[in-house]
Amino acid sequence: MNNHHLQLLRQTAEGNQTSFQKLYDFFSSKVYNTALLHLQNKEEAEEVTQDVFVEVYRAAKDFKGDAQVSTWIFRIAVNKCVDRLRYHKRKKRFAFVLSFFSGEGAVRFDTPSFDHPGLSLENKEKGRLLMQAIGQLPEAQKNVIIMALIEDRPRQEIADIMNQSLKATESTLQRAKANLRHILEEYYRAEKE
Amino acid sequence: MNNQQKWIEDVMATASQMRQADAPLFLFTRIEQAIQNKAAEVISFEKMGMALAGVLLLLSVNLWVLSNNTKNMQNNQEAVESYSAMNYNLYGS
Repeated sequence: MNNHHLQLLRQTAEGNQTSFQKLYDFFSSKVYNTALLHLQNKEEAEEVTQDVFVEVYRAAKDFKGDAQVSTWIFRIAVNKCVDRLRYHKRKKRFAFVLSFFSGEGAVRFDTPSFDHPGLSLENKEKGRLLMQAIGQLPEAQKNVIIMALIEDRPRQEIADIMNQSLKATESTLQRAKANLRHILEEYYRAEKE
Repeated sequence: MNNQQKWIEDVMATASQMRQADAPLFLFTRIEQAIQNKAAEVISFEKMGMALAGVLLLLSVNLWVLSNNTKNMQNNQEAVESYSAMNYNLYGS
């Protein structure tokens, strides 16, 4: 499969639109889902998917073949999501500081609840809580748990996408799972009170 | 397994029940458009670079011609002076 993708990428680098469309057809939904899980917002996931494929087209000629094409594409996707989340964080922090100077008091920023479009109706509420809890994890733990728990990617592939060792990835995943359980315990207690 | 643990397991189990959502329709058309726009930006940069290179070339040719002219004028002046000095024996022999 990777050879086929590699061939499509090489042809894309030469300006072959049909090969680019084939790459898009194969990866677009996967990239869109990755962006959707990270950003928890449909419009932003769409924008990031667009950015990812523009980058794939532009950087196809620079691909050295030292990783699988899929790993390379998902690395671009995860990096774009992380960049966007960091931008939002900076914006929030700036608005928070600004709100003190404007005398309006602290502005509250609540992450809007997100319904994953791929969930059945009876699982929507639990899915929403899970996404909310994942959203509270630190960046690296969030990235790893999305790829491991929801996307069900092999650990080695996650390590390759994250550009870190398998051992480091497994350790991050363990911490992420423990933190996720801890957050969910708090949700449970809050629900029962 | 107590109620809390069961509830947590249920919530975590929804992770594997999230079916893949499809990428939005017409996204590929938008991507093609974005690529074309970027290409247009690159072309305009190239054009700007070429225009700048043209201006630099024109300037350097002008400077070269100007410096050559000045040298020629100096040479001519020296030639005229030495010719005059020889012919009219201005300084005596």
